[in-house]
Formats: sequence, structure tokens, C-alpha cells
Amino acid sequence: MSEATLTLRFSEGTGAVDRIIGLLRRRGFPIAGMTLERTHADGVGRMTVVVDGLNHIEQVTRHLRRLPDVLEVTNAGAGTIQREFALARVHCVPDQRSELEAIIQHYGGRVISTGEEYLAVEASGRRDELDAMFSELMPYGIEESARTNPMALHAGAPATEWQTV
Amino acid sequence: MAVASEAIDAGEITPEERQTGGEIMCAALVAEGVRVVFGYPGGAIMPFYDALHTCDDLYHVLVRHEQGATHAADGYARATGKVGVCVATSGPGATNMVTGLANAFMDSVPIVAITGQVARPAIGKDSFQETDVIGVTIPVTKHNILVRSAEELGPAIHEAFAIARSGRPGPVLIDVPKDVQFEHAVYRRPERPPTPMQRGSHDEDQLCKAADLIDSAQQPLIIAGHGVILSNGYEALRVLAEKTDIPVITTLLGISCFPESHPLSLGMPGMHGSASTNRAIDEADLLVAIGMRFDDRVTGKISEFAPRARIIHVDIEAAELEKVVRTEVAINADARATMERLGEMVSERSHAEWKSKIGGWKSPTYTVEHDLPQPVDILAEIKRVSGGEAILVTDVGQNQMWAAQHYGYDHPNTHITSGGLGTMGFALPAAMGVKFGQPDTAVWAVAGDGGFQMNIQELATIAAEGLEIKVVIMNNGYLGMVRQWQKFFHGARYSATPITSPNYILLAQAYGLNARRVDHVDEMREAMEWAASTPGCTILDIAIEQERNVYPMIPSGQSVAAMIEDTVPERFRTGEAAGE
Ligand SMILES: Cc1ncc(C[n+]2csc(CCOP(=O)(O)OP(=O)(O)O)c2C)c(N)n1
Ligand SMILES: [Mg+2]
Repeated sequence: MSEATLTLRFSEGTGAVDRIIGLLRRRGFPIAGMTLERTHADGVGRMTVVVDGLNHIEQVTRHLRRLPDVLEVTNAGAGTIQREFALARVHCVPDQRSELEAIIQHYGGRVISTGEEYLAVEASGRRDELDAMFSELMPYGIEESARTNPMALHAGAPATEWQTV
Repeated sequence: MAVASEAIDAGEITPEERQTGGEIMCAALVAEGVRVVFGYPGGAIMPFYDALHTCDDLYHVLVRHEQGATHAADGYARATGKVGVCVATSGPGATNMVTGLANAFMDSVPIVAITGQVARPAIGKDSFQETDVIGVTIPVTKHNILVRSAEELGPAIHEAFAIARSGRPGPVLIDVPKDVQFEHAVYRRPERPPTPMQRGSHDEDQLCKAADLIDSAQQPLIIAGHGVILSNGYEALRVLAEKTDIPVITTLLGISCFPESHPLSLGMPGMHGSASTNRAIDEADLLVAIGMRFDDRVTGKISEFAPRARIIHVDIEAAELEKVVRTEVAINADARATMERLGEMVSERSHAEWKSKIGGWKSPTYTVEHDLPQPVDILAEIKRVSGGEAILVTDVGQNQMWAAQHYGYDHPNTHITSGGLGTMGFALPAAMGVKFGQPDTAVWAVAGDGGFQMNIQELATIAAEGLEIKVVIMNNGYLGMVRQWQKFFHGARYSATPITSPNYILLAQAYGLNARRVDHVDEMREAMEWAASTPGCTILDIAIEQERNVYPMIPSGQSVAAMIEDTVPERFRTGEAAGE
């Protein structure tokens, strides 16, 4: 089944996130990925949710709109920028440092901490870019890593209307 | 409510104007026009009850179980179109409300449930009678709100009412920690309701398309659901149906939105719908579905439902459109407003041929000779003694289906039942709410011997309140509907379906009520007259044939082709009158 990405804005209140996630589970739309975000507005939370079931995307959207917490749901299809964020601690002996730094730089990442035998990196980008960076770091030994799911932003005018996929 | 504190600072409000949370709750309910509250006290809701004690504008009904309070609020809401209110304490009080909330949620009934919660510092500590009621009720409410301060209390209550009644109505729960009920704040009554009714929006293109489809259809049907009742769309439906000459089917929750004595009425569709109605759906080339949601009890097997029909679907709830069936035209708007517009746009038609085709499918009816009262006679008798003016509140099971099939509802909103959830034990407590909402109308509760025993404790409430509710128990000694399924699908192995009853006459006496037992068909007339004319609550315990089935029946998940029709045993058959 193919995936669809939705962005939601909601009023933050007790149970709002529970209600949104619970609804997706109950209605049979498995969550493949989710990020909980903040916005510039007080009390307004945001979420980017990746759900399985592209075919039912309009149904998902309508169900979500039933929740009084939900202010806006848009389909983050074409016309959105999607980015993920990653942190990783990679095994690294001193003479590997410059090699590793080159890889990280190539992907626009940053070294945020170093030690005798490790190097910590932060990076953001499209999923395929981060995938590529991780596969290059893998041979050195990734000791710990954390990656978010995508956050999506509408590049041009905000998509207020639901768009057909 | 920062405004209020500023006003205090500015000396515009004296600190004396501050009220306790409990008082604010009462004031906000009164401001919403609430007159009656169904509830049950306990530790975490005591400050509210303390304020209620001196609040002359609210009448509190002490139920005997919180489930009863929710169904009573539900019945009140259905009978009046207003929001019903129920109250309970934290923990067990709140969890006892879950069934009633789920019931109201499934049937789109506006109720506001208020629960006490342990004090804010005690939340999350497994405190005495603490339950995460917000978590527990998320799936069965339209919305729920944990109130974090007395300042938020008034706005939260008004928001709850607005959400409960807007758009597609539904239950909203407000959870109020005990210390919030003690806390002081200033409550300002809102000048007008916070949000206006959502009526949906009319898309003229879609309306034109719908009108064209209606004008060109050869074998059209209207299927009217609960939305017609919720939107007060009786007249608009009659006008639309008469102008277009389209026969009207009413779903279980749509029953009584269109007079069944009307020549265009076809009654109920689906699992226990009449054979001709289901055949008509099978042959129809157009379904105009208004305020209904294509429940599986209506459609059976989706791929074989209305195979020849194009579908126009009108619903205030966007999420209902395209949820189950593919539609030609989907209109996300209020049922009445849409029918009114469509009524103006469509042309006058006559569908004589189609109607006589449907009439030709009507199954023969059998006259059954039996010493025991027949369900159909029981309903006819209720209608006779009440002049057809009564509101019937029905329970779940065979009794519910017979009451849906055989009464012949002619007056708006006179049939109230638990549809989506099918909650046994609904009828008796819901009837209490209906009676409070419509004190001048006769209210009859029809239940089976199983369902009646499920909330039987509410007889005490009925007795204490002196409610004039006429109870009819169709006593077959079985959980009849389940037994019927066992008969058809489980080799007639009656596992756990025979059920005993107490002596209802003695039971009624114990509650200070009157009851009679009817064992023979000859006793029924007199017993019904006695029930109707005896003041207060009466109970008729009527013995019916134990293994009588509800016909016709389309097995779950199948189509009209699999319909099981009546097989009255030869020995009972006295004639085959054609037509109904
Ligand atoms: C609370 C609840 N429990 C169980 C059921 C399953 N159920 C549906 S109909 C039925 C039998 C009802 O028996 P009774 O009340 O005697 O009515 P009858 O069918 O005999 O008329 C049962 C057990 C239900 N609908 N609701
Ligand atoms: Mg029974």
C-alpha cells in the first residue's frame, strides 16, 4: 500500500494528540510515521503524519476534520517541502576523522561533538539524502542514532483546500 | 477569563462576585437552558452537588445507576431536540457512563456528561476513584475536555454544549477535578451561544446534478434516516416525496420521520426490513439517501447492495460521504435545508408503474391462530389505546424489530430506539428522559425480558419521580434475537439464551408500581386498557410464543437474494391474505 503525508494544525489541549492518533488507529489507517511539531502560534500544535492507504486519504482527512481540536488538515502531496532531522554518534578513531567529516559535509551535516573514539553528527534533509549519508557512515560503526519522520511545509501558497491525489 | 481578573483589578467586579467552580457549573448549565439533570453523586463531584442543592433552576433526577443517567439524557435529547445532561462522580461513576456515551455517539445524540475527577494534585497517582476518563471516553465521545481551572469552567461548559449540538450532534464529556469545583472564579454568562449551528454548505452544482438525476430516474427511492428527524425535516421530506412521487424508506433511526400510513411509505430496509422494500432497493435505479449512513444492517453485502442504483447522498457529516458506498452526488449539508432546496428544483413526476411493481412484491400476510398474544397484536393494541399518539421507546432484540415493523408510526419523532450500538437496557432509562422531555405525551417502553432486566433498577427512579411510563415486556423466556441466530446459524443449540424472569407483579409491588401478566390473547385488550388508564407507571408482562422469529431476515453480510422469509408452521396458518 502506498503512503500519504498529511499535515495537521490543532489546538493544544488535554487529549488532542491522543484523539488524533486514536482516530487514525480506530479507523484503520496505520501510522507509518509522525512528528509532533510546534508552530509560531501559541497553543497551536502541528503534526506531520504519514499514513498507509493513499486510496482513502480523503476519508482520513474528513474523519480528522470531525475532531474539534483539529484546525486544519492538508494533504502534503506535491508542492510541499519535506525534511527529516537526524542525530548520530559514530565510532571514529583520530585518523578517520577527516574522512568522516568530508562525508558529513557532503550531506550538509554538522559535527556537534567529538571524543577519543567517537564523533556526533546532526543533519537534516530529504529522506533519501539522510539514507545515503547513513549508509556511508554505517561502515565506521553507528553507535547510536535518532531520526525523525518528515516535517512538511507548503512551499507556495498554503494549501487550504484538500487536493486530490 | 483574563478579562474578569482585570475587571476585578479595575474595581468593576467585587470579589464577592466570584463563585465556586460548583456554582459556576450550575450557572453555566442554567445559562444553556438546562432544566433537568440526570445524575448520581460521589466524592469527586460533591462540590457541584453542594451548589446544586441551592440552585432552584435545575431539577436533579437521582437515577439508580449512571448508565441510566446517560440513557435518560439521551432519551431527553431525542425527545426534545435539546442537549441532555448527565452527571457522575469520578472512577466507577464515570466508567458506568461509557455505554451510554457510546450509544449517544453512534446515534448522533447531543448530550453533555459531567464527571468529577480527583483533585489536580492527585491526578496520575492512582488516587482513590481515579480513572483516566478522558482517555477512556475519547473513542465514544465527539469531544471531551479536562477542565484545569475554575476560570476555564464556564467557557468549557459552553463549548461542550456548542460542540454537542453543532453539525452532526454527539456526546461531549467534561471532566472537572474536585479542587476546581471548590476554586473561586468569576463567571460571565455569554451573551449569545458561542458557535452557530453548522448547516453545511450548499454546492449549487451538486444540487442541480441531484435534481437532474431525480427528474430522470425511472425507479427511484428515498432512504430517510435520523438526519431528517435531527434537522426537523418532516415537512420538507413530505413535500419532496409527494412532488416527485418517490417512495420513502425509513431506516431504523429514521422511523417516524415520514408517516407510515402515507401511500408512499415503504417502511424499514435491511436485515429485518420488509421483503418488498429490500427488493425495491435491489431494482432501484436511484437512491436518494438523506441523513443516513449506510449501516451494514441496512446494506448487507455492500457489493450487492442496490446494484442498479446511482446514489445521491446528503449528510451533514462529510466523513459519512463515500465512507461505505460510491455516490454519484454527495452533498455535505443539513438534511432539511437540502430537501427544501431540492423540493423547489425538481419537477413533478408520477411513478405509478414503479409503485405498483413494488406493491406486487409485498409478501402475503398470515393470520396466525394462537393462544398467546402475537407481537404484531401487542403493537396494534398499544397503538389503539394510545390513539397512535404515544412515543414508543424500544429496547434491543426481537422486540425492537417487531416494534419497528408493526406499529405504523404516523407522528414525527414517536419512535426512539438504540440503533447503532444496539444497547440492551436502553428503553427503560431512555423512557424516563423522554417523559421528562415530553411530559404531556404518552410514553411506552417496549422491551424484552432480557433487556428489561438490564436496567431494571430504574424502576425505583420512575417510582420516586412518579413518571407515567407504560412498560410492555415481550416475555419469550429467551434472549430471543440471539436464540434466533442460534436457530438459523448454530444448529439450534441454545447456548446461554434461555433466561428466567422474576415475578414482575411482585417486583412492581416492591417498587410501589402496578403490573399485570398477560398469558392469553383474550386478556390483552383489557390489560392494555388498564395500563393506559391507570395513573403512573404500569408494567405489562406479556407472554409471547417462545421461539417466534423475526421475519424476513437477511443473514448478516448477505444480500436480498439470501432473504429468509416467514415460515409460519402449517398448523397455525388460517389464510393467506394477499397484500398487507
Ligand atoms: C448490552 C447488550 N448485551 C448483549 C447484547 C446482544 N444481544 C442482542 S439482542 C439480545 C437478546 C435480547 O433479549 P431480550 O431482551 O429478551 O429481547 P428479545 O430478543 O427476546 O425480544 C442480545 C443478548 C446487546 N445487544 N446488548
Ligand atoms: Mg426475550
